Amino acid sequence: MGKELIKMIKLTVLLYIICSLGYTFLIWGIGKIAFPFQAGGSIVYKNSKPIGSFLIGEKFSKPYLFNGRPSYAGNGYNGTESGGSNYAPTNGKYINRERKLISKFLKENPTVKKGQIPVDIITGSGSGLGPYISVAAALIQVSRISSLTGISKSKLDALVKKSISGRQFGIFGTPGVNTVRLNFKLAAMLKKKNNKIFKKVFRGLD
Amino acid sequence: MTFTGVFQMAITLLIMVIAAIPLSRYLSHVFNGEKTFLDFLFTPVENLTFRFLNVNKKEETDWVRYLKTGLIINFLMLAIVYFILKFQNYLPFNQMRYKGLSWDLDFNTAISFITNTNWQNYGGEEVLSNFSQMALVFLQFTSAATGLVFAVAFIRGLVRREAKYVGNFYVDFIKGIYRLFLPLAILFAVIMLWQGAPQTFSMQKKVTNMTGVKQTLSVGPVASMTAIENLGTNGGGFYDANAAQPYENPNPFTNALIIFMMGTIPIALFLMYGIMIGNKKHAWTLFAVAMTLIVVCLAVIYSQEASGNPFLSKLGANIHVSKNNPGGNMEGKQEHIGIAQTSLFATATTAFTTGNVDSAHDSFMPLSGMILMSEMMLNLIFGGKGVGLLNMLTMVIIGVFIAGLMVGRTPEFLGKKIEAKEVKLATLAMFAHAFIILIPFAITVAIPAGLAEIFNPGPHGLSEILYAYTSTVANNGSAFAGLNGNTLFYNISLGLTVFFGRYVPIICQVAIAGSLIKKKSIPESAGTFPAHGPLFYAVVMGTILLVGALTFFPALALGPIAEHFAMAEGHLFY
Repeated sequence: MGKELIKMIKLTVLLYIICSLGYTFLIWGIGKIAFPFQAGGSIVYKNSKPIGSFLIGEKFSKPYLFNGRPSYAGNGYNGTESGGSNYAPTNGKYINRERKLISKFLKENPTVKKGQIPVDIITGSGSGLGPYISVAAALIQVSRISSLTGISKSKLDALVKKSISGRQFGIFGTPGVNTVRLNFKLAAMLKKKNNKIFKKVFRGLD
Repeated sequence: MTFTGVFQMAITLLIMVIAAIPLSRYLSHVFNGEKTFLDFLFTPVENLTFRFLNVNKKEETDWVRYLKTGLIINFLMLAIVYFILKFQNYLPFNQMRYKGLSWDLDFNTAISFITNTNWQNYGGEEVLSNFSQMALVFLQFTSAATGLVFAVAFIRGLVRREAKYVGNFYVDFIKGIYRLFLPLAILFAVIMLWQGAPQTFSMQKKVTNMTGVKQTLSVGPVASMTAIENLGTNGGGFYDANAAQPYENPNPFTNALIIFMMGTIPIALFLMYGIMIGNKKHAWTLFAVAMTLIVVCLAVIYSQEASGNPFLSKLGANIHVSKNNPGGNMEGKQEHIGIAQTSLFATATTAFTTGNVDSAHDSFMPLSGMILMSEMMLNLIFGGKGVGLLNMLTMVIIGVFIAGLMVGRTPEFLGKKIEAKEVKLATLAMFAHAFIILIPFAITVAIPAGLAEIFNPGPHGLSEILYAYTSTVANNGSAFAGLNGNTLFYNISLGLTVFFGRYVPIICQVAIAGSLIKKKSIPESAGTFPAHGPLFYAVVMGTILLVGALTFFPALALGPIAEHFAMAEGHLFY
């Protein structure tokens, strides 16, 4: 038994070294050489300052911006606390909360009627960090943003349509719009159109 | 439901089956000790390993020794990881200075990863250092290989006649890791890395968003973990939200790729079994049983999720699908991945008992939740590494026994008599699974420590607890995550159900192999019940549905089914 046990301990230690340390370091090395951008978290820099990642959603709650979905990651888009709401569809508290979200949305977007609100814009994503909203949810905000910023509706419509991420390879997923990319492009438009609002809204880009 | 939705689910499943065929051939060569095209690479490394371990690769053992070796090695691995998590504050790659885990959470986590369950009562990015995450990766390799080699031993029990030895645990185990899991994990980790999964030893990056808001992003060696957690049907993700966190699953393509990683090996194991026993028709019949179950489950989940929450519709949300609006039940789902991919992911993660999630299962429609639980209650729809096949064969033995009773013949299976001992062990394995789910469930809903952690009110709260025990016993690891499991009571009770849910059935099943291997083969006669074709399909399917429904229907009726009818009546719970 003693001899057998030594075999087992040797196996355990060997596999720990291979599967935990060796494997992780190998992939790390490949990342360093071949995919340094992705390996570091796909972090984007503006004026040599890190402003975030197009993979991870950000809190866009101001009415000048294309708003994202409600987030239950910490107090909203907290990159260190991923998680969904976990509300059951029959939870009364959840439905009350949704009622408030819907009336808030209707107030902020007076041109939108009841029954038209795309469901994704009033529900949270699985991680609270998803950057995408549906195409309908982006288009429905155009009239609000246009009236607040002075950028024409047609220009904003075109911006949304240009920013659609379609099904991958024409097959996988659902078309959507990445709010981080979309608002980043909106920033460039706004800077030309109305620098005062730009400075107020896009403080991180100054 | 849309055509594009159905199409992307169908094509993902089809690609998995196509890839599983050559993989099954390769695996049968590996475990039969036959030549493969990769021998030039692996044989020298293996020989070196065997020399270091002092293992004679030609020496085989009986089933008792095989099982014992596996279980003791499992225990040693569990101990290493327990201590790494406990003392992570003294170990490297802990930039955030996370403290060691409390003993109960540590017990739950370590046991959950060595059993291929990966139930997580913690949020990875909030509690674990990168060094601890890497230690879990170690168990993700070894627990997958453990399930795999026990299935191989079982198959040898069926194949060999009047024999004693089922194989050499060390040889099978090393081969499983070197020739299957490591190379595939490296390949898929690189693909995930390319698609956007981070791979770094720092833990957090601080950024200032374009709006001036400060945001901290959790990073780490994510790509490497994502590959093996799915290939090994482990499912324990780097992040709290698992594959719903975009770093772990950056886009719809990686979502399909993860489903592919989860499913291809379990499907290949069914086909490998057919090759090894020399009866491919039999294996394809079992494949058909499992595939039927997957398609039915998927159809229910997809239709439920695509139809959406009627309460939100009443409030003014548009849940109907149109060109720009995906609609459906979007609570807890990623928009770009969409309803179809999410439904397939949820079906796959419970069928292949992975437990990785790309959405919040707790927020699924009641009947979808019921299907997710049912898949884990059956635990044989291809199932996790090896154990899915073992559970399917357990059901086959019971089915063949019932069929034999009906015609009044001693049942035979693949040329071997199935006698009292095998039937008893198979029944024990089956009942153990049901009892270890239902009894702790019943106790938990009767005591305050169990009820206090429920998140959603009404029958859904009951479902949360039922889901927890089903998931842990089936070694799945997904959750109705509203339930707060990080309490002394749940850490221990779920840790114990994980343990018994894994090892009791496995011990019974390997014992069946040990009993079958001694038997001589009886020639096929006109009265032999064929182990393939429509009749055999009906017997196996009938047994599965009958046993499954009789065992679990009452519990499901109190949870998801009650919730469904309440919802149809417009009733909310507070």
